[in-house]
Amino acid sequence: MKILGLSAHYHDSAAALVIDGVPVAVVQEERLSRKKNDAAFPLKAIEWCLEQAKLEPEELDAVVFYEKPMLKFERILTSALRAFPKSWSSFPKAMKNSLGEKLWVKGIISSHLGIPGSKIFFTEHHQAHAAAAFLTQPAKRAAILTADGVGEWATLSVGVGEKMDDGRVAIKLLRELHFPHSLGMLYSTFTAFLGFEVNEGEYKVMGLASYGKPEYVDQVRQVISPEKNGAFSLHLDFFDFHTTAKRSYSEKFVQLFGKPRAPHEPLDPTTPEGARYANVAASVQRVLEDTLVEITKSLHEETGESVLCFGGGVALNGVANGRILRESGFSEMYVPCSPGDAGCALGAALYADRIFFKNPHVDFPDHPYWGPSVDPEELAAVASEDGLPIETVASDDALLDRTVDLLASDKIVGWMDGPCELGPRALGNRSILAAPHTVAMKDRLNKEIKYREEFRPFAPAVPIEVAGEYFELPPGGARLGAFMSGVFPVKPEWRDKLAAITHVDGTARVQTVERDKAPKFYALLEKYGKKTGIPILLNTSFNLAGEPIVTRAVEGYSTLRRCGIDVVIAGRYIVSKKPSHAVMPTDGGTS
Amino acid sequence: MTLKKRGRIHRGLIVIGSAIPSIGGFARGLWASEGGKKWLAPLVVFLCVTGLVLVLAATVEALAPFIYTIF
Amino acid sequence: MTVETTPSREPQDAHKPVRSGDAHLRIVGAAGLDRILRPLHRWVWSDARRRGEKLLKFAQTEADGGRDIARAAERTHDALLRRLYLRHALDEQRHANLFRTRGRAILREVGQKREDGDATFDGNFFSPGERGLDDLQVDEESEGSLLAFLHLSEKAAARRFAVYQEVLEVDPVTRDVFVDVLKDEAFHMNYTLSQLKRVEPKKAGWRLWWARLTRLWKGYLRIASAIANVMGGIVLAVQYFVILPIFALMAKRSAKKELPGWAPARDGGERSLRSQY
Repeated sequence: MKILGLSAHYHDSAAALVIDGVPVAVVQEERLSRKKNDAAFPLKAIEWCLEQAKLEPEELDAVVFYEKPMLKFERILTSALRAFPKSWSSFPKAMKNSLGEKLWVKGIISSHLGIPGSKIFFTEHHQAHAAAAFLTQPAKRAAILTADGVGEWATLSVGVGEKMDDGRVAIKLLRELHFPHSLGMLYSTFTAFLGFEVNEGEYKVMGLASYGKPEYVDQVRQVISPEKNGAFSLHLDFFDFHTTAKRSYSEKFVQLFGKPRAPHEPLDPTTPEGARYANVAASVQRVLEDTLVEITKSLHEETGESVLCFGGGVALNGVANGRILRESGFSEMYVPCSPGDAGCALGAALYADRIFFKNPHVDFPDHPYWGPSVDPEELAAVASEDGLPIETVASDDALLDRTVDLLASDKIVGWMDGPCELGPRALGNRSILAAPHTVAMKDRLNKEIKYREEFRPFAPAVPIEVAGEYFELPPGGARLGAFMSGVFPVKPEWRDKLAAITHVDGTARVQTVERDKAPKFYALLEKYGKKTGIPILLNTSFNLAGEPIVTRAVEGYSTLRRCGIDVVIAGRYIVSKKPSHAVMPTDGGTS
Repeated sequence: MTLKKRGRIHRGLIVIGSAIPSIGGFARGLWASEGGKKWLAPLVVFLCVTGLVLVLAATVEALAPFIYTIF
Repeated sequence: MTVETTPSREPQDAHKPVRSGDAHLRIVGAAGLDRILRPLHRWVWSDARRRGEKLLKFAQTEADGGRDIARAAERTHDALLRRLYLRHALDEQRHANLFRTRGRAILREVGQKREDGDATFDGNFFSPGERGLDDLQVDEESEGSLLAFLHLSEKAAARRFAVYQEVLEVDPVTRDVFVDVLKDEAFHMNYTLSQLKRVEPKKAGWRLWWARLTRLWKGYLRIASAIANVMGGIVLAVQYFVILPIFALMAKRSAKKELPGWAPARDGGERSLRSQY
């Protein structure tokens, strides 16, 4: 069967093509449109996916959308009615938004792909999250947890999944929490309060939390209180997100936590005001972790499963994931490479394939590399035209040696290899790599390349077999680190030698690299280890602030030209930068 | 492979055409729901019909202000 | 290991100096309409908080514009254009930093933003005439049409910035930022025109006229959709107050029956994937 999964219209739209039970192409629209977090209907992604399989849209057996638009509309309308008359200003906007486009997904799919309505299907949002978490990993049985801002009504759900010996698959969601009681919305509210962009700045809250002390935990517990069996409810007096789109927190929230930070206000955790913000971040982070640990403990006791699959945007919180693994009782934990909405395109397609069409489960490799491949010749061509120095090496082995030499001499390398990753993290195919040893390197990356706040940490990549030598990994930690999904302490004796990737609280968001999933990247780490004694590299996404991760070689080249990266490598080509005045035209090229 | 490009009006008509059975399905779903949401069905149908005007306005954006004069 | 280094090939025009900024300032003197509206511009820029917030918005516009231009550089097969676009993108990045730094400094001086958010009037309809208002779809433009579009955008921006620096005598530091940015805008305006003439020598004039008409049409569409937006908002607001109260009452009653905590998950039966509800 040929099934196309789609996610769109809120954030991170994506397309995934599954043929005979196996993903053949998955890509986020932003990687092709070059608009970060592109939420538009994923036309480019669909075209690319179909092109990979040389399919025409009519040849598809099913197109599956990742949520039920009319159930979602019911929630939006019901929320507006419940907030009447406070919702008067947001109602027209919400209705125009839904009624003007988002409600008519079936027609939109038909109009773009030219397929009949009978081939169009809809999973529930959290079914898609659950499928993306459970069906993309190797365990036969697992407990399932999904948590995000909101889907249709559900904001969090728990369940179990089983892949039976005869190939049948069951995903049973047992119960769920409903909007507006949402861990994702709670965290996003604090993200907005701390002056960061919602759906983008949540990482910053997590990074900032390490600088603070959880001194506001009691106050945070005033806005969220526990219910039976690990459930919780939000005290809606403190929030406005359910009544208006203008602001997510209420005056009462401000009275409790103090003045919110304006987005343009500098944030320095060493100042009293900055410390207050860091303390607020640490407090919400602590409460989020405690709540998730409670839920997962109770899920573990109830299901008796040893593996937990965790999907939804909240699963991107690596610090919380680390605590869940240590404290919930599950011995293994799996977070997919794209636990957010983009991954739902794949989840929706797999759910339809296994559950609705009852096709037998087929195992496939759980790597993240499902996107477009890089064309090294493209890099060589543009660099050559622009007169930049190009080194061409004879073999992969020589390329790795040369790359290690560059990294060991503190060069910052833009590394492009094979198909691009699905999800928000660069995992060795579209990465900026650097030596992980000094604070100076971290500062240089922040100031010359990423142009971002100093309190945000960088991640290390390490071969999975030796990860435990450098990081304090709990049982199952190495597995969780495959997609940088867990934050773990750096062993104290290595912190000075890994200063660029050790966060202020002594932790790191570790990527454990497996030879069979990323052979070239793995070999690079090994060779770097042989040269320097430490087989670890700093790995950050290959992009500039406000841009999606690069896909094509020419995008890597353009990034090289616009920031402080020293070299870009693709295939067997190494392109380095010359002083900018020598290659940048200074007039209009009129002669 | 390139998706066949259809004009904005063509696409708008397809969307409106598929909307009518979708609204019917929505109303039936609400009516049959176990959560006691029957009372919401008339409002939903009314708003969805209003929504078709919004879709029409988006389809022919140059004439959008004139389309609203039907109200 | 074989190491082969490709010799550098510089364009012959790569080292020519930028012409003096003053000359450019004359070229891009303010447009007639903006001259007439100068008192209004002066009033808009007179308030420090508004000035700071406008500069932050300009920073965002310039950063977005820079990304568009970088995209153009990634798409083009013309090496000289790619280099010019990349320089242009770097300029926009620099402008974004200048505006952001200055905007933040002003807002720090006048105290923090009001807690109720964005209530101050910011004169948005006087936004810079650059790509903030011009919905640029880089991927859909041909080389010639993109250059024509950019030329007109940069020209409009340069003219507008010329007015801003004229009315900013109350704030010489911000004025200097505009003077600095204006030099680059003039360069952008000139290179886009000269490159358009190089890339499509016979069609350059036609491209410019087409781009002007397109801007005009897009301007109309913006106005039409703004009017439609307001009308749609009014219609829905009327519906809200006339039709919704009775349903709101029922919604509130049904909400009271809901218990906090877990709810059973909906039955994910086989039939359900066909339903949108």
